Amino acid sequence: MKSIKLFVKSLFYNSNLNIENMQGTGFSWLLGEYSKKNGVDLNDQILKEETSYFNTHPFFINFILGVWFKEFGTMEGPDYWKKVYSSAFAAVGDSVFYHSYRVFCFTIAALAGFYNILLGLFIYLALYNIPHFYFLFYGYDIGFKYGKNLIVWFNRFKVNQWGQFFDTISAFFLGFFLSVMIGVNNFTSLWHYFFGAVMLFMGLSFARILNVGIAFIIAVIGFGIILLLGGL
Amino acid sequence: MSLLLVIYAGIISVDRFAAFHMLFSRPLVISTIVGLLTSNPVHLFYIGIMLEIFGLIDVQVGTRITREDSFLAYVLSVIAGMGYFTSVSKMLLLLLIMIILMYLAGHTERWVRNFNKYLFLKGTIPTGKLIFLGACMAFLRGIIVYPAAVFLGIGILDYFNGIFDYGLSFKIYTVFLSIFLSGYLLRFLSFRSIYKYITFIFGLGLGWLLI
Amino acid sequence: MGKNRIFRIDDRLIHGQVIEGWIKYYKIGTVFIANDRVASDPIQNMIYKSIIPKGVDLYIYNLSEFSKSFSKRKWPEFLVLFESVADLISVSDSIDYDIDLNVGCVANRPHKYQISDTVFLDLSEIQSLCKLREKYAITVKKLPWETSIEIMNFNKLLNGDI
Repeated sequence: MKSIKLFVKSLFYNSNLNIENMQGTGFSWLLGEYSKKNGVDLNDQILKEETSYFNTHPFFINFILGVWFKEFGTMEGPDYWKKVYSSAFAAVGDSVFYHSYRVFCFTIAALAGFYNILLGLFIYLALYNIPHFYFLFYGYDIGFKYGKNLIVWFNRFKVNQWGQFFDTISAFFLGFFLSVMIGVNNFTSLWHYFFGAVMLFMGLSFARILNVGIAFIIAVIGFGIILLLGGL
Repeated sequence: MSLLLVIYAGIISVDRFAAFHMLFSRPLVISTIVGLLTSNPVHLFYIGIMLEIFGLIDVQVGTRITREDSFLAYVLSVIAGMGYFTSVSKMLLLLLIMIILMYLAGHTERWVRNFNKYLFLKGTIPTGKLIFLGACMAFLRGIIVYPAAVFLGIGILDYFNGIFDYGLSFKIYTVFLSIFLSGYLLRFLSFRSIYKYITFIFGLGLGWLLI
Repeated sequence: MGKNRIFRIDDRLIHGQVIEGWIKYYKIGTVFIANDRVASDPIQNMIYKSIIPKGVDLYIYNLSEFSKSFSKRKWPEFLVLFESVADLISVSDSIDYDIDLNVGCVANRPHKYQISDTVFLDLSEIQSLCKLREKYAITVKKLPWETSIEIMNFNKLLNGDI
């Protein structure tokens, strides 16, 4: 059921997020919207029950809705698979999109930004949102087609390897990006290389022992002291 | 332009906590957009890179509220875009203050979630309306918290007007702070360490050769 | 106290907090799910095995098999996931490891008391955990870097001060 209207609505489903039922309100709301569209009669009692605790990664919501409608009326019932897939997709989404893919998109966008800032902005938004929009737009149909066997569709793409794949590329591009950043700004004296290497090594070392927020504060104070002593 | 910046503050808050999730709230995007609005894109691009790296070293999981890097990026970008950073010392001072205030800004999201919970537990409001109100609350939070911090920042810089001016090379400080934070980001990437560092050094070398 | 030898009670089993929080934070290479329902359901088995990051071994057992298989060899590091306090109690006698016991997420149901924003326990579960407390270090928190809810407060709950 490819619908621009439902796609746009699914972008909002997280809006009532709270620690009582997490995204349960949004899930029930979208369930009602989809039922209107596909002609399945869901009474108020069902919609009320579906406002209970629900939490998944926002990009995967329509897959779960598809599975829910497919399994509606079966012996196990849709809520069993809703719970299983919501946990599984929370794991995949957090790990792949928030941990890995975003870093990958950033390194590419930042590199492009050195050439043209607008291009960098466009690449960041486009690269990140292509899978996001694809999942939201086609997720329902795929979820409905496969039902509880939805994982078979994801296994085609070896979903558990995406994180590692993007982390590998990101490590390469992060190195590439740092060199380019130093190069385009002409920080290319021996002193700059030395100082850059020290900063990188300090970052790597601090990361083992110190929260990044505190480390950032310490670094800003440190740079302030360097500035007062004569500057870089 | 001020109206556009305030509306954008609302959109950032919605994108970050309520709806869209389309990266409008990422520091690099914020800095670039504010840079384009204030005709100061290059300077802000480097601030965006630094704060983006800082923000990437965190993952939103479950009920956890991540560090408010969007707040940091918005406040610093708007103030820098409006030309209030007359020296590096002022930029570092404001960065320091805003990193601390960032935790307070993150806390305001807890209030929004509590309000959402309160509305949900009333049990009489239709789900569609709850969604609408949730998005409105997030927007409201954005247009209050972010611009308020901008005014606070401007007030602090005005207080130091004419004094505490050291350094004019903004770029070198943002670049080397970014390199420091990149150490964290590299550690954050989670595949087997030895291959990670080899891949990173390979990228570093190739970039150096090309440049 | 083995920081990377953890038994966790989480009724959602594997989700974002488990992978991003516990597995990646402690660099854990071996994960067990001890659960009768998951072990007997091939699709759930496939789902969890498909989402666990590459390089992490996942073993899924029912509760009776778990005790036997887990004791067969010494695991240097592990995360074992249980769906409920009762599941954990049913295997706890056969475990001789020095472990950290974490209560991460237990859903709210009638007659349960709120312990944290994600943990709701009834009196029998609190009593069981108090017994386990004599043997193991217990934390009540979602993520490793959070501060644990003070488990000593359980005594107040047991004394009727609810």
